[in-house]
Amino acid sequence: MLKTFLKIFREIAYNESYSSIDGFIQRIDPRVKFCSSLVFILLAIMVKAITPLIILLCVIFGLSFSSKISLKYFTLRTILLPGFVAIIALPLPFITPGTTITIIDYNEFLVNITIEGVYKAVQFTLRVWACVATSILLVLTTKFSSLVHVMEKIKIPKVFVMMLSVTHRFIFLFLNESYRMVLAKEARTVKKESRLESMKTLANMITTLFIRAYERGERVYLAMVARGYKGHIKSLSKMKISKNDIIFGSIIILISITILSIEYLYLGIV
Amino acid sequence: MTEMVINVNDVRYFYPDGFLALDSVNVSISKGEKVAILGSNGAGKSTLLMLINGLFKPSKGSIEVLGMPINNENLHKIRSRVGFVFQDSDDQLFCPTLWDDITFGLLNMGLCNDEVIKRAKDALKIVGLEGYEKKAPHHLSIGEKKKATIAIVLAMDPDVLILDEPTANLDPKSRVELIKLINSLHNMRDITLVIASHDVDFIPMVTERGYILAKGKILAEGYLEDLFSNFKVIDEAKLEPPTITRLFKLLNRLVGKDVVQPLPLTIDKALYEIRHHLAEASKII
Repeated sequence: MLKTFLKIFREIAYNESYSSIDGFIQRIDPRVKFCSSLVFILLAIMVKAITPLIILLCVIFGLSFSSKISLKYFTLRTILLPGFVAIIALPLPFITPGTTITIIDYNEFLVNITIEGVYKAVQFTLRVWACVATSILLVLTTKFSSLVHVMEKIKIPKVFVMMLSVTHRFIFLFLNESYRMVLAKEARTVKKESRLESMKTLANMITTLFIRAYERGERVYLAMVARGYKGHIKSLSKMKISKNDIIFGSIIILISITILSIEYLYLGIV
Repeated sequence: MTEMVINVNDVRYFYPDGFLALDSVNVSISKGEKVAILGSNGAGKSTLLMLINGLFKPSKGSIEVLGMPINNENLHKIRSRVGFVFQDSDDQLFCPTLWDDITFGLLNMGLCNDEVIKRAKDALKIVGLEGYEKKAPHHLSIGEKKKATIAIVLAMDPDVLILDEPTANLDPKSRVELIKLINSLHNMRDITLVIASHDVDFIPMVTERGYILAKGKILAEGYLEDLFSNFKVIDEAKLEPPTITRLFKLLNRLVGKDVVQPLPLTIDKALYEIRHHLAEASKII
């Protein structure tokens, strides 16, 4: 199972193919994309009614479709986390006070399900889904190197940007290393392991991986120092905002205002 | 008088756990030389290279590089003039794209943007990786990664190029390409080369002189022909002479006299010897 998980994760992590496609979002300046994503995430957090959240999700899915991302692929990639959130939100209909929809009688133990509770659970899940979908759309349509440069441009602390960049770079190495370790373990597994034995092996592998990560970190630092690193990171990146980027940015602002208007003018706050 | 580029004087180095990695090591390398540091795994080759680049500080003794003693004052100056290619390319490629990696060192040197771009493009051209600028390091093959690490160091226009086990994990074609690249670099830029390796077939193709390290001590130094003829030292260092040298040693033993002396270290030299002996034989007939 671990092998399958690592294999799938490696395939996902290595897949940068969508960022190279000539799609609608791919053509937009990474800075505009980054800011637009922040606006959408903020919007998802601010909006309380369900209809504007669904509209926002439709817009995100529409943008992903216009960027030539397969709808099935995008849905599968974005649904995982909201799926977990839905499980976490499951108790909300039972614990939120409000108008009762139905009462469940379980061995004379009465449980109320309220409209407000169901509403909260759906709202919470949709909100997370909108945030996750926005982030995934940004990551899928932008090369990681461009994202790093955007973060530098918008003055996110350089140490943080460097850490993120190095982490991203070495995720692939450690994914490969973990995969090789799992394969090596499998090659020497000649009988069915009990769950406890599997857990022990997994714990040993994680320990080894931590030690290797530490040693690798040391060597990378030495390699940086050997090339004149003195604690400050400098970068060489030039980005230009075109007319299309300004139009895209304006449309995003317009959509956001419309969604907020729907929330406050027509639907009101529930 | 030849200009001394690297001077390692009576250096000892202990690892933090107290293990003596280098003991009374003396190394002298002149400008433009191609020098090998030979030794088996754990002999102390990489540690010595790290000391030369100022990445480690010697526990005892002193090191001078390009006429400057390694100390906090000279450290950055030395590092900008001594290029270090690590054994594992993944240690050296830590940026999202090859372009970011190649410009990392150049920007740290405080060069202007135009110069950075020019140098980065030139270095990529030399190693044959033009068009790879936007590639992520994890999308490169091992051979390409090795070339990339040479390019990122080369872009800094170093006076000394240090390569730690450059042939590790390379396939035969990448190995041949690397040999050509190292030799052309030396011819083009008159760069001083220091190569640590236990690849005894590779070393004679790129270097002329060498030091043999074993258990942190220098067992022998000199021209490679002499070093590889000293079978006792080679054996003590847990090394072997190059394949072609062993073949000629066996041939000499078969004939019962030293027909070929000194023993050739490369196929080219062996071919020359064979031709020479065939020509002499045909004269006798």
